[in-house]
Amino acid sequence: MAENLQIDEILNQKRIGDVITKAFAIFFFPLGLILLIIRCFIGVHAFLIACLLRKSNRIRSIVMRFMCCVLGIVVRKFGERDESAQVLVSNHISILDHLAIDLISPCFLPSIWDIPTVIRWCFGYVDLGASRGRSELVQNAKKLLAETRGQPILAFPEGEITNGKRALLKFSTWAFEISDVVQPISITVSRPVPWNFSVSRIAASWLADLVLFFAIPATFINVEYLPKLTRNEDESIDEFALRTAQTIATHLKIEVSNFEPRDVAEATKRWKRDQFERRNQAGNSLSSGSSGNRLQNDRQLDECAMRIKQSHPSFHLSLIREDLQKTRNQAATITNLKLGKIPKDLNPNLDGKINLDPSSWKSIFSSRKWQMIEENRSKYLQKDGAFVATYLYDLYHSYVNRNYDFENFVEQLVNIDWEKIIRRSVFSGKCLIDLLKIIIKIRKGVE
Amino acid sequence: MAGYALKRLMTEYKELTTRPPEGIIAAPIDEDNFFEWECLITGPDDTCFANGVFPARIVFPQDYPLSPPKMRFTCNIFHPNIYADGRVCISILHAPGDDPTGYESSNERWSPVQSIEKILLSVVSMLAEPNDESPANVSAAKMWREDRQQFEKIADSLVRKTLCLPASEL
Repeated sequence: MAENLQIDEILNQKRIGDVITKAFAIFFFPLGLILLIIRCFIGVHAFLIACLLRKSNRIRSIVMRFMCCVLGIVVRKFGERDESAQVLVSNHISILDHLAIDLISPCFLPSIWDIPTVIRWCFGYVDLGASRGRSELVQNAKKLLAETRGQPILAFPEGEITNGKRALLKFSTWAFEISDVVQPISITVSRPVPWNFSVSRIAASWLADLVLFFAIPATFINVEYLPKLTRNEDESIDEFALRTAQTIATHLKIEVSNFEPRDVAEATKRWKRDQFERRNQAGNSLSSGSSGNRLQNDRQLDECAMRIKQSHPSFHLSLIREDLQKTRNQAATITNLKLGKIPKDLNPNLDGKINLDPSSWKSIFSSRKWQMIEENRSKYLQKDGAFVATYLYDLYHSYVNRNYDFENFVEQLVNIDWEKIIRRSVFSGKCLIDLLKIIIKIRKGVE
Repeated sequence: MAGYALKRLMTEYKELTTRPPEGIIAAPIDEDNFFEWECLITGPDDTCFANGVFPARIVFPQDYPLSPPKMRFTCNIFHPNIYADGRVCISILHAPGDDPTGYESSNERWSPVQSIEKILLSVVSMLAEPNDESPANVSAAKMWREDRQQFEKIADSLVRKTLCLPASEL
């Protein structure tokens, strides 16, 4: 087992690895484009033939293999197909793996992948109801094999395309539940030297992969049949799957990892996010050198909203945050505040029914979050306001207690550190009115 | 395993969204990753942390709820039971068996019947009543015992910070 192996190592990060290939790619681009256009037309014909001649037809196999050579997909067969094994198990490294195997020995590929029905029909995929669950899939597969003896089922238990250079993904076991006898296949892909482009890449679309197949003069897909494997009596399905994976891995001189398709999906998502951020950053340094600091993630935006709130307390936090989401720039949002583009009060749409759709909960969370800060803020300030009121009240009483010594009252009033009180932002209009009322009361008393 | 954890976290998320406890909200940071949550805790009334809205992050292990999550405040906070880097040290977050302080009885410990809500409620009561017998932040515990006024002053300045209010000097 491969310890401390990173998921990124088993996926291609780039199409082009070295500088020479890169330079060559630029040089080759126009030729590749012409080749691509010509092959697109031939491709249509190949597609029609695939539709007209049904499976298990010897002529189809020969014609298709020839057509594929013209299209730049050269399939080479090694080893011998063992007819007694009804399940073929292969590693997965390009989008055309199944095509390559299908050309050599026609087989069924259960469509557990999202492919359009038309294409599925044309290439003779079978729908075994994988979407309705695994037991259904295994049941249907067994039935299919019983009905049509001769044509095997092809499975890619890895479930995702990898680069095939470091390790295989963990094999899923459904294929091994269908039959106790499987024939492993190892697939490798090579391209002639100057066209050293990877067959697939992390997060690549199948169309991009296909275009590259057509634009490059030739791609060799080497399909090697390995001797069939039979499940031992005391062996569990998991162990059998692992043994098969190890057989293929040993043949490819790589390892078997513990990663699952889910990890690949995770890595793909991460890769896309990184790309997006990198592009954003590049865009920023180009477009806005001066206004600069664009805020990237939610956390920065939250912090910035709170900073703005400090100096513009009359605006509701969630409105500031909303505007920041659009501008992604502190200065721009402050300008918007000053120009009155942001309303001061929030429309109360918080207390409604809560949608049962979990994807809407996150926005509930953030609106609750800002509401919570706003509420506690005003409570805190009220408490503080009460503090000033108490202070004034005490002052008034000291005036009463000191036999209505107005001089002393004014002196105390002057000695209050008003600057501090105001800086603490607790001295509101109401406090001022209270204070004036006290003074009026006192004046009346004096006169 | 992770599947069960996800299911459980989803249930708790629903519960916390539809029936949020007073002064507490929590949600996953990123909807693609249910194992990292952010939450906000309001300081309990009539304490020096009253009205403060303290943000924190909770990280769940893959085998949640068998193992307890980890919680960490993302704002500055000065409290006897919170490490200087924000990590929260309370008994409910410790699995029975590992006891860094030696002061906890195992019935207050983590067990799979606990929940995010219970953790957050314990943190609220911890804010109200610091336990200075097994301090995570020694200087905070010392100040709490010996100079309550100064402690409250610091707490107040932290509360103001979470409410976007300028620092006070009063």
